Amino acid sequence: MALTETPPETVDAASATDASPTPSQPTGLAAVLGSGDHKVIGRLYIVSALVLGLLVVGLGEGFALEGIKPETYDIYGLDSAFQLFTLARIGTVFLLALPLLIGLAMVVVPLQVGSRAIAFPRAAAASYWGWLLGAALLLGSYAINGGPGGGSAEGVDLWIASMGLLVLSVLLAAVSIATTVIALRPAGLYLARVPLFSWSMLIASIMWLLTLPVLFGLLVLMYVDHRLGDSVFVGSPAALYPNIQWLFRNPQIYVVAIPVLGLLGDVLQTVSGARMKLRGVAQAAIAAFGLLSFGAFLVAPSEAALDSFLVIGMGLLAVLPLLALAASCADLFRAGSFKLRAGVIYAVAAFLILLLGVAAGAVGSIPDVLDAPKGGALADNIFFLGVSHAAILAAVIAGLGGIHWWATKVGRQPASEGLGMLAPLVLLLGAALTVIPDLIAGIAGDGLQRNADFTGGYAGGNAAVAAGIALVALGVVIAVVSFLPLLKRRDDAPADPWGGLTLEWLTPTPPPLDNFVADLPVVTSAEPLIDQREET
Amino acid sequence: MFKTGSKFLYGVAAFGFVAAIVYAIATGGQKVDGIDTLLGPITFGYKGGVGDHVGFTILVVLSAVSFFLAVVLSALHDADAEAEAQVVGLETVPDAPTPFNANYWPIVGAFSAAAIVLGLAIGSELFVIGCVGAAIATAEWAISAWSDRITGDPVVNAGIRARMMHPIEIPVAAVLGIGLFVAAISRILLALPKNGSYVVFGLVPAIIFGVGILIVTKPKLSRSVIAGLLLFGGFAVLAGGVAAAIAGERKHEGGHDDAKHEAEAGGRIAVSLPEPGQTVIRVAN
Amino acid sequence: MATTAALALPPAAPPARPRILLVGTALATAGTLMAFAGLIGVYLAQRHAVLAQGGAWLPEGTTIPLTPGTIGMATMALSGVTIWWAVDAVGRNDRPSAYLALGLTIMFGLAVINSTTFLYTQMGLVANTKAGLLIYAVTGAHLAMIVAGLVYAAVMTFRTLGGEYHGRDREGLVAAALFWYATIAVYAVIWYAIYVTK
Repeated sequence: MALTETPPETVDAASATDASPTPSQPTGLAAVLGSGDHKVIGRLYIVSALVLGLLVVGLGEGFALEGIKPETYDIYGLDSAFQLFTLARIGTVFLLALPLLIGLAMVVVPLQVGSRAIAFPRAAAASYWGWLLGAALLLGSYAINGGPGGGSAEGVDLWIASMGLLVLSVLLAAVSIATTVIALRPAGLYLARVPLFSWSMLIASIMWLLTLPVLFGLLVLMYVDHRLGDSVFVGSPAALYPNIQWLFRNPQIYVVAIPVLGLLGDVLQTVSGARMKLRGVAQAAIAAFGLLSFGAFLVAPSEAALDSFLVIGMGLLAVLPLLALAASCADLFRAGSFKLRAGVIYAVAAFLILLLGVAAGAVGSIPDVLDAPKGGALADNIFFLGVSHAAILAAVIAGLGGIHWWATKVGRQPASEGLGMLAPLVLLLGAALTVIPDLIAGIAGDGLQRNADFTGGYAGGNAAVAAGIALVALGVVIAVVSFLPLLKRRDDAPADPWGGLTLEWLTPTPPPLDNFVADLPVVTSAEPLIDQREET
Repeated sequence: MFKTGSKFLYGVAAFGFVAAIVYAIATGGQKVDGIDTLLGPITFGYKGGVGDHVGFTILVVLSAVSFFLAVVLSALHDADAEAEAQVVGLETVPDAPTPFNANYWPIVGAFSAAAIVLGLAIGSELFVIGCVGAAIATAEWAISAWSDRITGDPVVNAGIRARMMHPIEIPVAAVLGIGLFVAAISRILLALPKNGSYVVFGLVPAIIFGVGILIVTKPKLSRSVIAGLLLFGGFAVLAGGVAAAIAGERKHEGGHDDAKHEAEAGGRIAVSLPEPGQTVIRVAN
Repeated sequence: MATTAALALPPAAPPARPRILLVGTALATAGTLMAFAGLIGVYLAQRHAVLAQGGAWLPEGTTIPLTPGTIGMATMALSGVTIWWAVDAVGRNDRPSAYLALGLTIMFGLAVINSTTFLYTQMGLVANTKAGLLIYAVTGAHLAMIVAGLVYAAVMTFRTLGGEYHGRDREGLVAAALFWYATIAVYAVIWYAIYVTK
């Protein structure tokens, strides 16, 4: 009975002592491996994503370089080029963009919604370790000649299973983040009042939860087929990739970039220092963009499906939420001031690249604008690669921008502002050079083709694409260098370097384990810190 | 009742339903002809076609699932703090508990999941090890979740948990640890060439001896060192398993027929691909 | 005073933040259902494509007997009653009934796993056909979902035994029941789409 019933407190002296003493807390590696602190888990995600991301960007650079002179350059061998191509595509989403944003959200979202912890902290930790091991096994599967087009049966099985682990880990993180926003808010902070970044992460997490499981279901099918079914469903291992291609084309690829909108809203509102009058419009725009990014129904699209009114309509309408959000943000500056900060450049750069991608996606969805490349289907047009790259690069820029903006929450002091202003400009230029040549080539009817001896390469503008990817890599490196101060403790590090409006800026730098040292103010609006300043 | 969160999800549900019907009509290849056109999608294919079955099913389930989530959020009043406070009968809702204690079961669970993944690809032994690890992690996780809330004193809670679990954990950990170690080493020894196996056979006891000396001379090893050793061990088991599986067992002298051996071991034949010169692989984004 | 302080019992655990487990479970359940949407969608599409060309979906000599599937469906339906009985009993602090109901739910779940594996032996369906592959993938994934639901129910049973859930707080059990109802709903779809219509 002693184990099953909570004993009542019976002695006055006991209540006079500290009611919640804490056992000795581990430090060092033990603390990292066993941590349930959302900030530690988020930092682990961020660092791992940046390391793996540079690898993936390097891989993409190799393809672009090979495409400049495909007849003479032979960076990737004939037998591995297709596999590495799929690794580059999968890696940009699952090893770079998603984990970077998840890491940022794990650090920032609980602080923004005024919670002392993330929901399901152990599940959040499991999601990171699962993702890390899944990523390692995914790379391992390619190393043993697996992956789509792989020649090793075990390697192909390992690729499918490790993809499954990656997807499950991302979903676990999504549950944790979404539950934090929904169920861990303080009194007065209704969902209509949560900061836009947290709102965008809620929408993104829900959309990941509604779309990525479809991929998981397909992976189950592919595994059973390849392992037990003699590949009667999928066919050759090379045909595994077409079954997951829907992830990398619009509208589905937009789900990766939903947090871009939240970052833009939060950063611009903070620098304006004003209340957002069109906040409802901004929230609705983010929600609508999330809704219009649902692309899981195009798992096996026919020509009729791609030409359907629904797909065309979704493609065209996706631009409107971005414009609505831009209008909501522009309205801020009628009432507020404007200060140019690195965070603003990051947020605007990410938004512009996303707008470019979504606008291109809208054009691409109009029937007869694009031609099917020679000998291929319309979906093979390289135009869609440009759209996909735009969404992914926007997400990466936003992720880096978020780390810079919330540097005092992610790390121990603000990031270097000078380098922080340079990095997004380099990234913006790099992203534009990566995306635009593919869009132009696509309009000319070029396809993404790798023929028998892989002399095809990307059609058109590959030198520009190679320069663009190199600039993206350079931009990431500059951003990482600008983050180096985050590692160093500074006693006078400001808690709120930007004059923030939302609850995360009430935490000290770096935030303690339970996030807030004092009781939170009563939340009566979406900008509780403005209320607090007005009261004092 | 209809608050911000549930409004969004009701919107997704409505979108899914309308999109399913539009998509079914667009991909059905039938002439649009009044109510008959709608009959198929509305009856979920019972009284007519629905076009692309995959897309239609996914959109219908999207609608249903979003509606389900919307109803849950409506019932919980978007899980607003005021509504939560009413549930627990307090003026203000309690904070989420801060995870003060280190907990290694998530990482054990992740390693178990990785072992399952490896086992699914390269052999049943790792799959079984992964399943056992996952079962243990689940049980320990549940125990931790329960013991965290027995009293308001974390030290007392930890003591109760230890009294309950240590008599089970220590013998089970010893048996599993030694068993796993022996199994992994045996796989590695079988995969290595003859001379390599001699080296490993000599090296492993030396390492065990070294670790033993370390523990004896420094009984208060920091938790980081122990955690680091366990992490290294976990990676070593996984990496050893992969390496051994890739290398396969070495051929034994006077051994048996290879084909028979492969059949006995449940060996699999690699899927053959067309010659690169004969194939054109087209990939879209 | 020192003596009384030494005998002092620890303070009671502070009330837990409600709704976290319920919201998380609802989200996870939604994700699980979407995974089945993909699987069942592909099954229906492949079956439709074969039938539209005038072919036979199931390979020659293969049958799917209806009885084990229907018994499984009835058992799942019964388990839906018992898990709600458990939730209701905990709400009334009727612990013996709650344990009985949770035990029955777990037993029914195991019985469905048993009936499905028995069905596998009766079908004589090989996996290297499209029908076989898809049927095994869909039903096998559902068996995994049943196992997950059973583990969830078992964990919540343990926590109820440990005194965590009672009349004023039964959130864990409600969450487990929510996931279990989704498991039943998926089985109902599988029963109709695979076992009945074949």
